[in-house]
Amino acid sequence: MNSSTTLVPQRLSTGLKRMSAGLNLCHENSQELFDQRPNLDFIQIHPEHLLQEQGGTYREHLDILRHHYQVILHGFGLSIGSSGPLDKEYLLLIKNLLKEHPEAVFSDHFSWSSLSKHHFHDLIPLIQSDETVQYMVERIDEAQEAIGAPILLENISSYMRYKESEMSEIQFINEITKRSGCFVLLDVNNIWANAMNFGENPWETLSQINADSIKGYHLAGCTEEQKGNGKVYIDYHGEAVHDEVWDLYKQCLEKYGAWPTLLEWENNIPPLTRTLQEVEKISDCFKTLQEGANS
Amino acid sequence: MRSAQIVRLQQQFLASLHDKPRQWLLDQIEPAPGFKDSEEVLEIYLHRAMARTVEPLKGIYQSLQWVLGEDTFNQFIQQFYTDSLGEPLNAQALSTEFASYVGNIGEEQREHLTSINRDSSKDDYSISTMVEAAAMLDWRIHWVTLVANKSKASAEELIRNLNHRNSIWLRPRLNRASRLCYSGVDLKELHRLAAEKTKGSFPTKCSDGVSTFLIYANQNHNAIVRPLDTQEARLLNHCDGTHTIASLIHEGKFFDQSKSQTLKLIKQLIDEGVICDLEDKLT
Repeated sequence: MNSSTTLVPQRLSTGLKRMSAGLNLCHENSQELFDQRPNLDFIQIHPEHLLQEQGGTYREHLDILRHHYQVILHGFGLSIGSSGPLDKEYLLLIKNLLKEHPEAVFSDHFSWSSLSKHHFHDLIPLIQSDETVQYMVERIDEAQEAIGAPILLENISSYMRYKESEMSEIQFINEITKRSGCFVLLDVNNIWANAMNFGENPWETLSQINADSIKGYHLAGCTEEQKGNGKVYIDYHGEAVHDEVWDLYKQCLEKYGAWPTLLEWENNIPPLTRTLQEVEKISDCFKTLQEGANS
Repeated sequence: MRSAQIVRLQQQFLASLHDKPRQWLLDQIEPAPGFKDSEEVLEIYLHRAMARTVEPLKGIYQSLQWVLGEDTFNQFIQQFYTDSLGEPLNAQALSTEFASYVGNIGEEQREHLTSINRDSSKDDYSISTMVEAAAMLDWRIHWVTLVANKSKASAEELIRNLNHRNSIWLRPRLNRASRLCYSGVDLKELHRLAAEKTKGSFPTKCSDGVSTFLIYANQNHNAIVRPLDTQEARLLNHCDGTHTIASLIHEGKFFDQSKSQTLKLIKQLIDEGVICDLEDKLT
């Protein structure tokens, strides 16, 4: 089907305030979140856990917390860029969750991660070509029609590119959003890490993105590692957000406006009080932006 | 429309996963400057695919890990990955596939798995038996803790219902994930020794040859491994939501159990969290 005739509503429906700051729910922080119920604008949940965990402590926390907080749905298993078929059972779950949580949006990634029953457990980059754009547009159409809402896709971190790529990452993203009606979940850390890994200017990269497509931000900490020919930044979500990424995020707020922003910390997780400090920094950025607008 | 470009890329990744990286893929990749070559960057993705697939097994198969020792266990799960036909996303599906793999590799291969120094003269069962018992115990424990849900009623509420004069028509039920199983290895002892990471001591054979064990999760989702005596095993075997208390009392009388003894046993099993529901309708 031609994407221009899509039946999917082209407006993102969310009950979240644009200046919302949230935290990801994961196995490592669920007990603390469950016990403490800190003040958060929203939490991010992974729909995959609702399929994979039929019971147990984490599922119990998840079920209670997702009704205590506003939520956003962030997937890692859709594998939208895969040549294998989309998982219909998974998409039906998303559709039902979106009905249950009218405030929520569903997001996944500009990547592929599985082929049939083979899961790579990672977000693997795609060849950035017109052929892939066309394929992605068809797949996004199929997913959006199945869940009855536009989806957001997140830019990924990558440590390699392909010789057959014909366009930059941002050109690739702009082309897909323009032709499919999907939106961008902008991971500022991934933009920064990719720029560092390939010796580029992150703001130059960011400033090329279609401003109207951005509907959310992710912030996380990447880790510096020494490899055979020098250092690289790996996206482990295992430390605090780098100062340079905060600066870049503030520039994004100025240029693209405020959107719900999530702090992701999923490995080497410190006590909840520490991650909440990072979430508080997001709220501080919103306040600064607001004050600037009022002055 | 299928994209020939995407199909080729992804097939090359898949082919590289269980074998050497494919040359076409290595030629296609432009690594970030920090990497020395395509192989180094590709290794990140291929290693993660393997490591993240088998990682949940380390958390699930703790008794087996204790029996085999960490190094042998790690080699074993890598062998499982190499032989595996797919990389399931779901840890539960993966754990089932692994349990099946352990059961199917054959007794001789299981005997060669362990590098543990132990006094074999003291043990009256084979390593193969122990490996299989540990794998099945771990699989069961994972299953009961993941599938178990808290019962709707508290133990106090169930006891109140049990004391009601019409309670003989209620149908006791175990948590749906609970499992009764038979083993010649003392599974409770195996579970304790593995949890405590005790060195140099293996569980003994069951004194009666083969015993019945109940594996269930309590209301806090903690797995409990419990040997059952004959009366408990008989009663629990029928606590599936179809038999009324009246029929359990009736049956007990054939085994010299009075009504009060059967009711006392039911109450005790409710208190322990083994019986989690008293249903008033057939389910």
